[in-house]
Amino acid sequence: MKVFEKILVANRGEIAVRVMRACREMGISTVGVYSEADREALHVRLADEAVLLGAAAPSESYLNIERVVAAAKETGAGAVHPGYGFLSENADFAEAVKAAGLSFIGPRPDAIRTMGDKAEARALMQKAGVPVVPGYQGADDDATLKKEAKKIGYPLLVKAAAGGGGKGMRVVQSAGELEEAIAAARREAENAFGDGRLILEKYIGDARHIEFQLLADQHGNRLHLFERECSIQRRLQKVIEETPSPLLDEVLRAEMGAAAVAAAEAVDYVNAGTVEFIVDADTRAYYFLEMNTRLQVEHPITEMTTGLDLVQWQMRIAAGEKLPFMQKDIQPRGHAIECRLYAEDPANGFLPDTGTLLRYQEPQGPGVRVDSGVYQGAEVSVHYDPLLAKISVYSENRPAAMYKMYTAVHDTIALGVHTNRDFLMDVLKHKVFQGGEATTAFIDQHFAGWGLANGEAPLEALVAAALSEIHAGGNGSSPHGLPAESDPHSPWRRTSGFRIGGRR
Amino acid sequence: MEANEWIPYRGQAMKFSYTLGNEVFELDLEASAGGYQARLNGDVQEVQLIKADEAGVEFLVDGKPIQAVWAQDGDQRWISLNGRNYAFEKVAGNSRLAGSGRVDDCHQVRAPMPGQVRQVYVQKGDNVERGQTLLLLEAMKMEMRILAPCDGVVVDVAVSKDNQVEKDNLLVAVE
Repeated sequence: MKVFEKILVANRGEIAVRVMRACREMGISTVGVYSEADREALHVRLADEAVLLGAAAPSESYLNIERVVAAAKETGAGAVHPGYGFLSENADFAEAVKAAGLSFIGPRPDAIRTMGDKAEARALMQKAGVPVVPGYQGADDDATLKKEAKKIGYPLLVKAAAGGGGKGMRVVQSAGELEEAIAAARREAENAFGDGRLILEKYIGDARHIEFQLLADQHGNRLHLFERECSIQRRLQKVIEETPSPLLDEVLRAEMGAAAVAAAEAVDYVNAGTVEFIVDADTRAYYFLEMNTRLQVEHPITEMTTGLDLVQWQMRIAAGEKLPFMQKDIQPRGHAIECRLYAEDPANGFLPDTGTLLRYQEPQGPGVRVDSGVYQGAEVSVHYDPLLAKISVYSENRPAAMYKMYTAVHDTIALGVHTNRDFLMDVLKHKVFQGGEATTAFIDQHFAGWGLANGEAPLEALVAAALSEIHAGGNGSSPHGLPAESDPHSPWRRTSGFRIGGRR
Repeated sequence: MEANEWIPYRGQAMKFSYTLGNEVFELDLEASAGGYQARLNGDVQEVQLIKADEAGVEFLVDGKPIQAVWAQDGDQRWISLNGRNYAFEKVAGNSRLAGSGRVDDCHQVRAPMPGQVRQVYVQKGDNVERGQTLLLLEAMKMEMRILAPCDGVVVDVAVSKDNQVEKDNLLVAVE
């Protein structure tokens, strides 16, 4: 059945592409929106029609509520899907969409508002009996924050009350760093969210980040789709996610799942959402961190193990459909892992890189899924998130999934901008990751100074560079007059042997 | 001699210079009976080209098959080989290397990525210490502190608040 005739996707990049694909599968036509920097972007090419919002700066385009709502009205869209980031957790936007007589594919505005306010959410969870990280929310003038920071102790986290996605967040190791961290977090929060309020939380460095996917319809049915572990992070942003978590046993999984559903109940939650927990690696005590009232970047791995299409369910729920399954019907199978391919330089503090993707090849094979927003020749600009693609794999168990992921990342080719591909491969090979023991401090602990050895190049690489001076002219001829072959998936191209735990 | 114009014949050696990070590599290729002889830091290997096109190359090094995907961008030579990426910078001559910021970067602080200047903390004539914050740069919604690479005196501040800068633009000069 057709839930909507036409949907406007208020986003860009891989998530806009992901949502549009779901729409096409459901026979729904799509409206894309874009900025001047994104005229040639993949999501614009994929949309049935596309509307220019404005200049490259997000405030002029993807964050411009008035323009986005006007675009939906002009094109006759019946609903708006916000994706993640940008306006996805902006209650004013959800309200504006509804006020224009359109459906918002997400929760009700008041649930977004409550959960989007880290201070309010903490207070509400405390009331609902869900454990929260020790911290402080309240008046946030510098003097008060300094006083409260002293009570909490260091290291601590300065966090934007309106925040998300690692923005407006600073780890503070000692009192001397607090003032600059408060100023920086406030500025970042004001720029990113237009709201500079801050809260403090004890920084649990050696922790596991485990979150539960929720699905709730408009008829009071709420259930969770089990967990994702996202402990592999750099700069407080996720890099590798997997499900199930190697840390949880059935008892803790059931307990945390019930807590996540209780958190959703506390705000009368509707549609897809995620409750994030921090779990102490030693005691396995868990604390509510925040609830993301939107689709999550790493949703594909849940789709792989549950067999459910979360984006399609988002649309069905928004259209008023009832969930046809209950908690006991959700039986995840196998193991799924996601790696985020970023345009960034892990050897240089993970700084984002920009440029043209001169060569780009995505991995293929059974159980390999790629969600990407780019193509060979695409420009990676300074204006937006450096996420190029998400590579997800599914296999029957964790070791098999790791092996598959290593192969998939190995077969990914992205040249023209620095990417974290080689770094991802080294993480996947690391025995702490393979043992399922990585905490959120894993990258800092084991990969500080990564890439120092990258000043080294084998003779083969230099020979290839030298040969490119002579032969990369582009006429496609070989010295022996043979037709040129450039299939990167040719088995001939695999020259490395990788083993997990000596398995073959 | 420009590398692109070189046509190999036996007995003629050709030098290729690249930088990777802070390392400089010099590779000699000499045409030989089977293809080329490659020399790097005294290591000598026989190279036999199998095929090459605009996307990549296949060759043998002492009989071992190697495949690489490549891309060129100005002086940059991107090579993906054996599951590793290399971003080589071609060095045209020694004069260019000596004058580049790479070697002399204690004195010229350049933008590590494109972005917007959020704050400038120093002005011309200031004494700065190594590690001191010179300015704040914001790109992709991330803020980055640009630190003084050495002790010295600020002799030039090339940007001001809210300026948009490109990668490698001069920000501050320290002497």
